[in-house]
Amino acid sequence: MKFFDPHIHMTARTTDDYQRMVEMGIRAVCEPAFWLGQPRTHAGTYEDYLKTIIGWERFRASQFGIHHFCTIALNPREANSHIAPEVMELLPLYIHKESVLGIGEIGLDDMTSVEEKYFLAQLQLAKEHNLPVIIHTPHRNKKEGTQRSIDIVKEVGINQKQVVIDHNMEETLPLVLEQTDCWAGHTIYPQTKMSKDRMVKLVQQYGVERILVNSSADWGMSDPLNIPKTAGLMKEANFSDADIEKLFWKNPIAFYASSGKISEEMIAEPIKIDQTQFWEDNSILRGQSPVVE
Amino acid sequence: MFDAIIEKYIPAEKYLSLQKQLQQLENSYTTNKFIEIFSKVYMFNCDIKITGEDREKLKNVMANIEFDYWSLEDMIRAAIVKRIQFLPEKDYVEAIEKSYRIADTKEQCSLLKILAISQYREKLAHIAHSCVRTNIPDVLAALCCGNPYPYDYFSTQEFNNMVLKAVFMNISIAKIYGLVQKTNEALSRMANQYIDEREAANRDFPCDLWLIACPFSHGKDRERVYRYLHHKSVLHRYWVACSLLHEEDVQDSFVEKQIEIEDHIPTKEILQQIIDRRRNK
Repeated sequence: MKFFDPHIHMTARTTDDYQRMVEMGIRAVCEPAFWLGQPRTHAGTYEDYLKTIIGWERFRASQFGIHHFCTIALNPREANSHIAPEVMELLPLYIHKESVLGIGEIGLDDMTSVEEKYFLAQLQLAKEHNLPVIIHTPHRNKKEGTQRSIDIVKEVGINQKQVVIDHNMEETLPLVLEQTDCWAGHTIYPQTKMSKDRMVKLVQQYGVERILVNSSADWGMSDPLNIPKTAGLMKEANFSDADIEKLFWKNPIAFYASSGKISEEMIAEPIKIDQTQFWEDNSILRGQSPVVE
Repeated sequence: MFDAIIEKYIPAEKYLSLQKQLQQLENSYTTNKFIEIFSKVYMFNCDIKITGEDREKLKNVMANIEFDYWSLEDMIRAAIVKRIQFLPEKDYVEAIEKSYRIADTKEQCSLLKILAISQYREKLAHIAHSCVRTNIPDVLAALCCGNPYPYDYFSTQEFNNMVLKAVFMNISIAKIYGLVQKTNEALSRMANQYIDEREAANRDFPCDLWLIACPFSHGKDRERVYRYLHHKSVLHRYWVACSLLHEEDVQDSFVEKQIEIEDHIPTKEILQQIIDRRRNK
């Protein structure tokens, strides 16, 4: 079984994670731009971060045979920062890069008016360039935040099939599916957000159409293997292989394919590993024998 | 000229789409629009090999550029850059600088190759200088290999620095445009010192290093050149022969001795050329 994790922050993860992910069948990932656990103090460091997820991180993933893509954005948390206007000017310069599949993650966090301003502006940018969008929904006051996000998506008039409203729970999923044509994203976390067994129940109830599932693994206590683990639970719950494949492979591809930069054919085969390669004079190896396929 | 080549290699609808975008760029130019078109060249799926015949056609127009090192992607990017030549100097330079700053590796390579045919190219030397500090072999190779820009716009010291960097990054210096003409005593001395170090450590070194180590060499360094003319490695013998081809002061006896026993035909032919040239003089 092949898996595509449509939302994972690999810059925050280790090479051990990459190895385990490959072993468990993860063949492609998409890394949305997000914050670093503390606020950046300069737009320049934000730009370097964007270059990292387009450059070094893509190389690092390739060294394990994983296709790495990303989405770029001013994240909701840093929309409240003084660097926001400068970061917004950077985005149009990077959205056309080969591995950038869309805009994200954007949306509301503290639900401030500044967050809304940049949320709207980035939705407009995505609409103008016909790109998919990942919308983060707040941890606190989630239902209201999700509803407000839906209203803003409608207000902008972006193609809803190019939008995923992410981090849904039992009480927000019906809002997304019933009120919009957007995709509904779910983040499987060990303790918070969605759990694996609850996710299986949601799919039993709502099916696999327009549903995305991700690990959103980052620098916190999260699990980059939660996609294959959830797939395992679905198998135990007697879901067909076709449904599992659709949910964890075909759906993410279908969602990101509207960028025009990705197709199932492109990523059907894993990247051929060549660990003799360097990126800016850097190798992922620390004395190990390079794997070359 | 690039347009004619590109039209041959990409599907008609893609070519028309490119032309439409370029026309829009000319009609209502913004730097962001230029960067967008420049960044999206990968969408043309440019893995197609340009034939030798088409490369020759380009060479007929731009004789000093080695188009063997250019991909179709490079050519499309060159066509895009050509279309902003109408910009005033300040805007043109700013567009190239900005696109280089945000470029990925492939875009950087294209820009470095295009430098030599750019408008206001003398104002873009800082881009080439920053490239010499890169550790990405493909990027440095884009500046070094068959690219006349460093030859035309680098000082002797800057040129020497680039050549040594190429040696350390395993880029064949034989591909550097104008290497023989621009080699100088300081570069030759540094090359010989490097060979000293490698020999002391009982390690080999790139064989084409002789192209810069042989000129201006004398004393023990020149003796070493002749010693390597008889080396067991055919590559050393070949590149020593190539380096001696450009030298005025060559001891015929070493060359004649090697001709007799040389079994590598290209090396033997070069050695014969050295002797013939001296006899004709």
